[in-house]
Amino acid sequence: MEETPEKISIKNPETADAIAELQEALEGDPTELPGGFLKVNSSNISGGLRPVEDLIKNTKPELGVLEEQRVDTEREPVPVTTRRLPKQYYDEASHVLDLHIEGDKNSEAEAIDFFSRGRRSIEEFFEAKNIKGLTLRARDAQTRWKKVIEKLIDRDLIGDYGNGIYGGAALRGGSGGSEKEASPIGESESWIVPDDFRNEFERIQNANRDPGIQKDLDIFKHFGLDVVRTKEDLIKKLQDTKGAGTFTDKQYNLLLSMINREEREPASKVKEETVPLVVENQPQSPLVVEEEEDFTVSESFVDGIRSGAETWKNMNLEDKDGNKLPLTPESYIRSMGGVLSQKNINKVAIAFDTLVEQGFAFKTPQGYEIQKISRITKKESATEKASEVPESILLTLNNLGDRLSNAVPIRFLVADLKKPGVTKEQVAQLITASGVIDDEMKKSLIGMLTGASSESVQDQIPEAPRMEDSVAPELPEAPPVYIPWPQFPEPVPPPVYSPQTPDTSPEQQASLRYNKIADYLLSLAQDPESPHIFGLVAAYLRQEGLSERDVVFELSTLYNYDVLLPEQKKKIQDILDGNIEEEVQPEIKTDPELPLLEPIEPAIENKEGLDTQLRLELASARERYVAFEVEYRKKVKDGRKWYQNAMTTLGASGKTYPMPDKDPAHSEAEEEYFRAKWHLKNFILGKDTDEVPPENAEDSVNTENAQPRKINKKLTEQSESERRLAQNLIEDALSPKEKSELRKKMEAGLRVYNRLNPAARVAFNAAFITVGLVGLGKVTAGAAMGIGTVRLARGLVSLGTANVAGEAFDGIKRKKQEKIKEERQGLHEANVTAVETLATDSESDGNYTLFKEEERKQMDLDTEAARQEKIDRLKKAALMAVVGGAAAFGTGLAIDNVVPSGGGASALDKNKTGGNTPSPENIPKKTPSFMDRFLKKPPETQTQASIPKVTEAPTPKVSAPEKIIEAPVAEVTKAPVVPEALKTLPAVETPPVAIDIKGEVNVPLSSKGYIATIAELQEKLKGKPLSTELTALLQEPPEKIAIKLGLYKPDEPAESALGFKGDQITLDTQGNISLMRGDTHLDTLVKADGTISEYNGEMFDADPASPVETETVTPEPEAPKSSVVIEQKIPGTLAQTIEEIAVKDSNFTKITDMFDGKMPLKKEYQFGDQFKSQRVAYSKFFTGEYIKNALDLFDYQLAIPYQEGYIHAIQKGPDVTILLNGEKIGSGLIGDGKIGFQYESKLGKGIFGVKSEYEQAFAKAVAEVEKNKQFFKVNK
Amino acid sequence: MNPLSKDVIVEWGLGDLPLEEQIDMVDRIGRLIYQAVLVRSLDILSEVEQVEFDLLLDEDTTTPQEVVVFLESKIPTFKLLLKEEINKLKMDILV
Repeated sequence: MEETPEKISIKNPETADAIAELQEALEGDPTELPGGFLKVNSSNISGGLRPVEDLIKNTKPELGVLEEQRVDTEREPVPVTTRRLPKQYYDEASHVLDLHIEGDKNSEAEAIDFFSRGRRSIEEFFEAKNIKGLTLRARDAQTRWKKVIEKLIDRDLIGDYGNGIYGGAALRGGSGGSEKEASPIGESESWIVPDDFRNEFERIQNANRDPGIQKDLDIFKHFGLDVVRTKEDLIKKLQDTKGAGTFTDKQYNLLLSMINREEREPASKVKEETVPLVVENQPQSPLVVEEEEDFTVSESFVDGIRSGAETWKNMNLEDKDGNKLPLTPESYIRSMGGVLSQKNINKVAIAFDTLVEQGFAFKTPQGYEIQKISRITKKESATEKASEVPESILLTLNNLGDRLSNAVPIRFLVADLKKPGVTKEQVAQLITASGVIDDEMKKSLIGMLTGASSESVQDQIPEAPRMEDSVAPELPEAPPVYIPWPQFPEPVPPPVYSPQTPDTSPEQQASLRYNKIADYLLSLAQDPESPHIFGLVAAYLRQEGLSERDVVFELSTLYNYDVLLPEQKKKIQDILDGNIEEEVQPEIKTDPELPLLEPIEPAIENKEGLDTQLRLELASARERYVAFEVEYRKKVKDGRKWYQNAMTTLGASGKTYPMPDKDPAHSEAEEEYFRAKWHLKNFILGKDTDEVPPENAEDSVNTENAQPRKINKKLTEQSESERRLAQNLIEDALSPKEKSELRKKMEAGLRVYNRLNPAARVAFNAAFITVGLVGLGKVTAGAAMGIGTVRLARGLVSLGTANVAGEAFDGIKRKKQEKIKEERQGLHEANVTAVETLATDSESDGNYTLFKEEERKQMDLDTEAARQEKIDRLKKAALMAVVGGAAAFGTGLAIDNVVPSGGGASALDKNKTGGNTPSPENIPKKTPSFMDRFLKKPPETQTQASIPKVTEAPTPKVSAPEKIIEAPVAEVTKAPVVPEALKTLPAVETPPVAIDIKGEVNVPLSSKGYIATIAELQEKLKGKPLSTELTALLQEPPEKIAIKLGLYKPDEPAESALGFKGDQITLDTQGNISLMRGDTHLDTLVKADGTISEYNGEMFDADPASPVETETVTPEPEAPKSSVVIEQKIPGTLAQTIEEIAVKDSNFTKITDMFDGKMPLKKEYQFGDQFKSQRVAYSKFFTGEYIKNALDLFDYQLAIPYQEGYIHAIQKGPDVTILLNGEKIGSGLIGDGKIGFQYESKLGKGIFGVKSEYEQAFAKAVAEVEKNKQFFKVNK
Repeated sequence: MNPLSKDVIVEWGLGDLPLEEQIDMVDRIGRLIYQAVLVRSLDILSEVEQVEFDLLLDEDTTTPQEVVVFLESKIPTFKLLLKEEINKLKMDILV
């Protein structure tokens, strides 16, 4: 009996939970997980990860044990077979980590997301625990494995996964599968992949633009070039890869010839090795099999196929039109992600036959079913007479409908029909089974086959192809034109592109046509709505030596994506057919020296021609610019790496890499690109296109002399399109990995952008897109760190950017100074808040003159009300920073604002308590240490002293903290408060209610929310003549009214109606109560007759559970109960609180002793839900003091959220102290790549193997430090 | 009430457009600049910073403001870079 290693098995069927469990396991005490190995549990996908297993066995035996476990998904996931690897693998292993990723289709995305997100931590986890692999388990989708495993390979966690994971698993699998197709490592290690093969492959790889094929090429490179050890193995891999459609015939032949170290294989020989490319909806054709091939496949293999076929029944095998595709061996293999080789096709076909014989129903709910496939041996094939397909059928097929859209499947159908030995019966079968011919046509074709005279059809064929013939003919009355498809031409020597060639051979003419299509596609790509694929296809078509087949394949993707308009298809077809050759050809003949694009110059006479010419010039300039840009980026990347290494060596690792100057040629290309854009812009504007852009045009945009400009929508669209194109080209020139990384980041960045709701987006943009942006970062810094992104805060602190916080603080301070200054002049006028007015940093003045001037004029004209608007914005911005900062752990900003000197009311609190404007002195950049007072003076007096006196500021006396969502322009009103809070409303200094000349009553939306607004409305309507119904309604409590009107839905997560500052509730002269936004009528809430129409606008969650809320520990006794105030308040100020909840060590002398564990949170508050508030308060205090006093003393601080409090790992030199809410629970050393920690044993240990709470916290700390060790200073 | 400030309207010549289009244009402008700045910034960030940036972007609660703050904190020339991108776009789309 083999020794069974220890297991941690995560078997929760819910993927999310499983992942959570895994993560929890990962965060456990690593000391519990010594050693490790790889174990693979497969799913029901007939073999699952068998290829991985094989691969690792063969290539990386040191990875340890693999275990395969098949699961029957029809029932509970009970292992039905288990196969183990040799004992030696188990001997090396001491631990198994068993991750099950199961569930629905989302599992794949979740799994990938998991690996994507955790790529570093997973690796580190592996490294830390000496686990060299990961057990994966999926239930029903081979493709999941493909992607997950690709991820692992990308990160070098698995070196290889055998001869085609895509299909190998499905085809070789089954627990009983015994085939071994993985590379026979070691059999012929002396064999080296020829250099010319590598070079050619890299050329192909670089030229390819299709992301899917690129990935396949990557994989081939990995397995074909980096792992392969024998010539035969490489040939096999090449065949398999080609079989999947990755290589064209030409590429395949060339590569094959290079393996054999021959210039070129004879076509016949090569073709013998070639497997036919298959499209998904290819009809089944007679299989040509080796005569001697054993037709029996193992039972387990058949079982695997049966299982897969069951899956297929529920899969969406569809063509581009959404038609279900029949199950063929090919479509089966593809659907299972398999390698499409002839051998595999044969095997699956055999298995199908076996299953049919066993009575297995292949029929899907849609009625598709597998058809039995005829087989002939090669020998039979060779001796077979010519196909019996009538020529008329071939002619008709080749002219069916929109040829290009059907080109690929029809070509294959024609090829099948023409195969030697195909009988009439088989022809009929093939035609009947075709998915691309409609029934009428099928009847016609069958008619031709069975009785119609092919001769008579042939007679009607016109002599030359014409464009109009591309329209589907009405058969048999109007037989179509037969334009023979090229017979897969052998590679022809390039370059047909060369303008120096005096005579244009057919190949050259073809190449010119392709280039013309490329030009046309590029012109289409200018459309901002055009898909990215236009550029990609155009780039592909620019390649030399393309065969017609290559081109058709490439173009067919456009059809598949259905991105072409009918006229565009026609145009492409025209060019492809050579129907507009005449326009081009004469130019080439008369002046062969002309560059490629010259021939179309004569067309510039007209506007359309000029447009085309300018766009082509732009394309050319873009291409050149992009080439330089890509090179520059590479240079930057390399340089940065070197620079950082060097700086690290010199002990200056934080230095920013100085971007190198651009090469003069690069600048020239950039200028050329700019000019091309300029000329096109002029053309669009109807100006002289030769107009030269001004010197330093970019800089001139905002000079004093610049005239005010207007935006042009067409130019905007053009710019969007152009930028997209250029970016795509740049991306395409990167290596797949770089491209993937860049895309990932860009997508993530855009996701962040897109997450903003429209209002917040406007707010963000309003600040972001002004030249005077400078203030944006400062204002939002607090918010940035307040969102709770501990990681960000950590990063900011760790990398010495605490000055950002300080800078932000200064910004706020300055703004508050402004605010005070302006507030003294103030009038109030409600207006939309936006941060953009903070963008007035003097640094931007140089380029902002024009607009600053404009602003000054406006300011002069707009009286004090405009100034007050600014005041309001400033208030809001400052408030936002504070509110945001309140949640920040690890930043001083938060504490500086929330807990000012003496622990008095925070800036936020002040705002709450009546808008009493704190003096600038109250917001020092670095407040005096709280501990000075804590140690010496009673906190009460400090608190009182620190609260500034109430000024005459006109803001309401009681104003709950406003809830601000994401951006300040959309000033979201606070959540409706609970009724108790509303009882305090009479004390609220209500804003003036306007009663206009029409008798309307307008109540501005209160910052306290709709309930408060309704209360104000009630107040103002007292004594007004209203309808009985309305009067009755208004006599109810405001909260009830809010509920009735749909403004407050207390039972829903998004319970509060979203409103903007400036919104109003209005009673109009007809007695209707409405919501107004400015002059816009939003909604009638109550009609005069009392009919209620519930608000149906946007709602939001005004009281989400987040650290921001729980941190609002306020001394305000009269503050209204609100969702942002925690239920269990800690009485008094934070200072008082700390005195009560913390305990000082007898050795405590200075605040920094706190970071050595000498002033921890009292033990009784460390754990338990009931003491969360204490932990929150302590952590806030701790973090603030750290920022204020200890940033320079320590190398790094890692703050780990833990049970509402924090664990801090503080590093000084190699020493790391671990504090749980200030209490030392461990210490350790971080050396060169090594981390060691020791638990503070005096805290006690658990019994019976159960960890104590302190031990659990310690384990968490260690795990987090491991995960984040790259942030710690490495001591050598 | 127009949520856009006069600054934005004047700076980007949006005055002639109806409010809805102004907002739409601002969104498009913002997106273009944001993307451009992202692309350029990614070139500049060090590998460690890229990792940090990844973490930031991975957070579900991250806002564009935070992205900008982050980049500004890492790239000393960020303001210059941003101004360049703004001016470039102005050259492209303003008449």
